[in-house]
Amino acid sequence: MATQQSFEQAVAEVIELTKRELGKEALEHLPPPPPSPFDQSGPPFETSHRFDERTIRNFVLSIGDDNPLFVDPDYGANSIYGSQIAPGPILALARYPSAHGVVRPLGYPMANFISGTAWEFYDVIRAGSKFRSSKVTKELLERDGSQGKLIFLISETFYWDFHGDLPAKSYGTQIMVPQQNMGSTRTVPLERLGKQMMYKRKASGYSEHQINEYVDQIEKFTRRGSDPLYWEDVKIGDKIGPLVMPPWSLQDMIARHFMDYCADVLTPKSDKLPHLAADALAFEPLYRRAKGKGSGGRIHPVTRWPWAAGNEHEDALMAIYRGQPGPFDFGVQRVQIPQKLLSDWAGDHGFIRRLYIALRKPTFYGDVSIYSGEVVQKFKETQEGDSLPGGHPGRNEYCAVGISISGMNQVGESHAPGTATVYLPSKNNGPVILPVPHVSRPPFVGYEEYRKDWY
Amino acid sequence: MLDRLKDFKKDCESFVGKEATDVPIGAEVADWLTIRRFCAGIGDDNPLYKDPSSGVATKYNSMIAPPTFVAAIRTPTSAGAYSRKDYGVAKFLSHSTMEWVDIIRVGDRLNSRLLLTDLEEGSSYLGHPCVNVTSEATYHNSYGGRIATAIGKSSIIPFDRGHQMLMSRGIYEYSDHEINGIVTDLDNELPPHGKMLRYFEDVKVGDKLPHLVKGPLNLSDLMAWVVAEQKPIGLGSQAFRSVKTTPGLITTNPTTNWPWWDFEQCAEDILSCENAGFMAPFGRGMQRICLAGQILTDWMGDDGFLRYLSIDILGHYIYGDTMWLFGEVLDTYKKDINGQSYGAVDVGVKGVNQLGEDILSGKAVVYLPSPGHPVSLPIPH
Repeated sequence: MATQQSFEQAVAEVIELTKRELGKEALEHLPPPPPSPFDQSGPPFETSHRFDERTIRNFVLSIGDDNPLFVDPDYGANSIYGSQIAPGPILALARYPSAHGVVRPLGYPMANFISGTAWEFYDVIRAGSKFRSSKVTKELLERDGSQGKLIFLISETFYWDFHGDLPAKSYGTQIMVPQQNMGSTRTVPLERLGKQMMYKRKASGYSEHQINEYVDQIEKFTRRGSDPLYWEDVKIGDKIGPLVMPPWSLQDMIARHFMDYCADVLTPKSDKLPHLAADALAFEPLYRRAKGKGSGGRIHPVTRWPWAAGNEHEDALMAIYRGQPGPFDFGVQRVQIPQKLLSDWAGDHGFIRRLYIALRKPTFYGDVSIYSGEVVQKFKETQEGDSLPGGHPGRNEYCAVGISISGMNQVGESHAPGTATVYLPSKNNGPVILPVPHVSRPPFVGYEEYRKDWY
Repeated sequence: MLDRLKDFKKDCESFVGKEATDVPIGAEVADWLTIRRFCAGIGDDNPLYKDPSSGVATKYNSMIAPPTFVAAIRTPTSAGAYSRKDYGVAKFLSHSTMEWVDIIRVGDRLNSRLLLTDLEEGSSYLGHPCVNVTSEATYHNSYGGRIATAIGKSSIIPFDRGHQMLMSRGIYEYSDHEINGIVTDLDNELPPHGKMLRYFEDVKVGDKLPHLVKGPLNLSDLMAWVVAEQKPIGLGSQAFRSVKTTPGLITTNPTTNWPWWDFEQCAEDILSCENAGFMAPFGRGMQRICLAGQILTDWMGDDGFLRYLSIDILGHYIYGDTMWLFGEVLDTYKKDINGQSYGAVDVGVKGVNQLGEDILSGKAVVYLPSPGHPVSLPIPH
């Protein structure tokens, strides 16, 4: 029985079993189960979202953007794309871009955190498109952290539209942090709550001076829009931003749920787990789902209700179950936010070709985020493709800039550094030609490659 | 009447009879995902609202949305000038009446119109002097067919944000005995009546509807409702710019001191709800109205039709509270509408919390089929 294991045995088991998953499809974040209308076969798996005009607008709002290129169909129709488009990271809705390893009914004593996504984009995402995906667990890396062993799980996800084209792929980093106070299951017993906290920082309060400074920066941030930024006019050392995100709130997290609720099934498909409905989010269905998992649920620290909802991210009373001092953000939402920094700087004619954001710390309730960038490289690169399924043939040269991204919080912590490659129109070479030619299955880029200076 | 209520009422007078612009448009299409999100927000697992395939086998030849889905299209919750200036007031939905003439099918494109219809000095809302703002929404599908009308009454009370408590009770701690009782009642809930027919002739005055248990209320229930309402949510600088356009909603977050905090988000947020006068997050009134709708749709079966629902909100529903929903048949009669006969059942509805307090009360009218006489839709209007 899993519950008779020691903590160490449980950790060893999850590592061993997850290693056996390498190279296989990660059967998680699949379409809502029957009786939903979505095809259950795969890979590739159908996503429940269709990126219509309204869905794109709502998604863009949920990552703090309001670029008319993304939210205004009329603006889009008159843009160089001829239609409303979506920022590339919207594909995180089509399939969560990170894998979580093996599962079992009562879970393993691990706190999991998405700690980075790396995207390769080949084309823009247009209104009306719908996607299929395949996510494969590719690497398992063991590292020593300040609080013990860390397990890095790296995944690769392909996104094809229903025309068969591949406008993007992603690599996800999932960090699994063994939690001794959980014993051998995923849940911290009530008597051990708070004994092993990963962070201790409380929500920040702001002075009038700080508030004025942040407000000033928010109001100064500008969008380039339809005025082209030419490659020739960009210099190494050019600064981008800052893009300031006001204190993180519960509403910001609900904005994420506005897009992801009912849309997929988080829990991996497994013969070891009961069937879990994607829409059991409240009241009786939530109770029945919690009870269906068997014993070992979370006991609410105030009401004493033994089937408490697992809102460890959002609920100040439940965050302690994840070893956190207060509500903390969804990493998959934060990694998408810096696209605004880049797209507002590059304007409608620019194209984000690569984007990597690493997550070093949680963003807690009340945290301010300050994103900025610096042009660190200017180069030209040639892209070639093929005519196999999903590929795009041809050979084009692109004028590119490499951008170093910084994501700081109000206490001076670097919580979301990253890198990006942006293609810009050129006075000599002309506009950015899309799609970017690519082969049918662009090769895997490993963690050691994308984590540093990936331009 | 207090000066601040007078001030508010005076500014609202010019709004009466006009389109209400302070309530965002929600769902514009009854697609499968949006219907599921709405049902998730009230915990409604009725297959009629989730299974496209078996929906084709129903009398509607389609999966449909629950009648209260109209709240996802647009809530009848205008508060007039409330968001335009800081009047020193708070608003609560105190009443809603919905009347349906047709069903909503999956795939329907939806339109709504919201008018501010009445403004009056109320007697009191939960012991507070109040001004009541009434708005009426009408809902149509894209073929021009009317679906329903919904009336909502927003009660505006004097309130000093951050300096006044409206409720002294915090999150309820349950005894083992109470927990066992809730578990028993949850486990004894009956599934929806479904495809089995409940005839008008089967129903007697005094019949009790199977109960529903909603709670203990947690943050997941509250968040799921925010999503169910489908009002777009922005964040970051977009939210900052948006709140600046609504001075009446701006408040200071008591945890961070951030002065551009949208007062509306205090409802779900335990770290800022004290600014709204509560020691714990609290449920929005429209969620309770729609929860009350479920006890009726579960009972009436797929072939019944919820014609009318009128609910008064009598008390707050805060994080940790449990609400038991009860219904009882009050009357049965034949209703003639433009020559069409309907088997009408009046049902009294009540919501009671763990302290025995009534937190909602109202009445519904359900039309049930008779042998050889299914409920004819749309209702003539």
